[in-house]
Amino acid sequence: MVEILDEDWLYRRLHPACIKQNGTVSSVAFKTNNFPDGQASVDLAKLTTPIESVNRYGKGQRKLGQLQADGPRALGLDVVHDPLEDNHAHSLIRGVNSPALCKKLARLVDVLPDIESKG
Amino acid sequence: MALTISEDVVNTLGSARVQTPALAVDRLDVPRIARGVDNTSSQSDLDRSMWQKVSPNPSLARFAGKELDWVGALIRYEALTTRSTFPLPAVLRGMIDVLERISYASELPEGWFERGSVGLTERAREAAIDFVSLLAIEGLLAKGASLDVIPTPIGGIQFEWAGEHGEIEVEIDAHGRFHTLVERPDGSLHESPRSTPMSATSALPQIRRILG
Repeated sequence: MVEILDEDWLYRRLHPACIKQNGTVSSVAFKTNNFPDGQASVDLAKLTTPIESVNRYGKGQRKLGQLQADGPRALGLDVVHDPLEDNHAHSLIRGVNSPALCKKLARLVDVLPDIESKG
Repeated sequence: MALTISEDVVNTLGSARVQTPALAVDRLDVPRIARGVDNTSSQSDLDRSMWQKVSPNPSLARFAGKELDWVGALIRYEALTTRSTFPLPAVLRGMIDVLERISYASELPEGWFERGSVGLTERAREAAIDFVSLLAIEGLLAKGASLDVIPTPIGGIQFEWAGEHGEIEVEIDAHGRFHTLVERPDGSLHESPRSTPMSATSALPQIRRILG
């Protein structure tokens, strides 16, 4: 387990459908599978690269969003390292249990320009 | 389902050339869309006049001519308007745009977003199409406000508006139930209780307040 510092960056893979016409990220990006008992998967940036992260799992046309760990923590959410067998950088934002939290999280995300997965 | 208009359909319903986008429409009953068009009206009056004559009866549409009603209406309307210089009314353009986005969402496969995510359910899709019809009739697609229509990874779809009086998200969940999240200009967020879903019509006043 790696400690995640407040200033650490996190990557969130984004389907292009989750990006609004004005280029910002919709709250939908955090309405995860078990919502409203949600936890969002992210990659810890210091353990990967943007290209590796966006191409993980081999799905094409993904974009990459980034946010700093102190953002979710300021909302009362936990940010923890959760390494997987096939992804050591895997981390979780835990406690995403309401639409309002999804919206606040989405506001923290910047979409990285010129980063897109190949598939 | 993407629709294409065959030559037979065009010949049957009118001679105008129509560029109809791929739509996933099989529940809208708009056979009288072209009737009563008053060429002396302003564009906004025209929009209003037209939509007052649309039959918002999705249950009827389920058993009626389905998409042919819609396509036929488009063609008849186009046939009328091509004799004048009217473009398609803003509300119709807005409706087509939103329906295309629902069509796109309904084609997303399992796992489209990440592991475990699901595509748009049939109940959510039906509720979304009915909602679009309601928005059009209420004049909420012709406001010129920013509207995003975004599938959720949990089988639903979300409509998001940003207006001069804040922002609103209307989420249709996988069961076709409605939930709202409103952000007021002071930044405060107000969400409808998840355990007590609201109706589509009860979301309309909130949308109007945001759009002004």
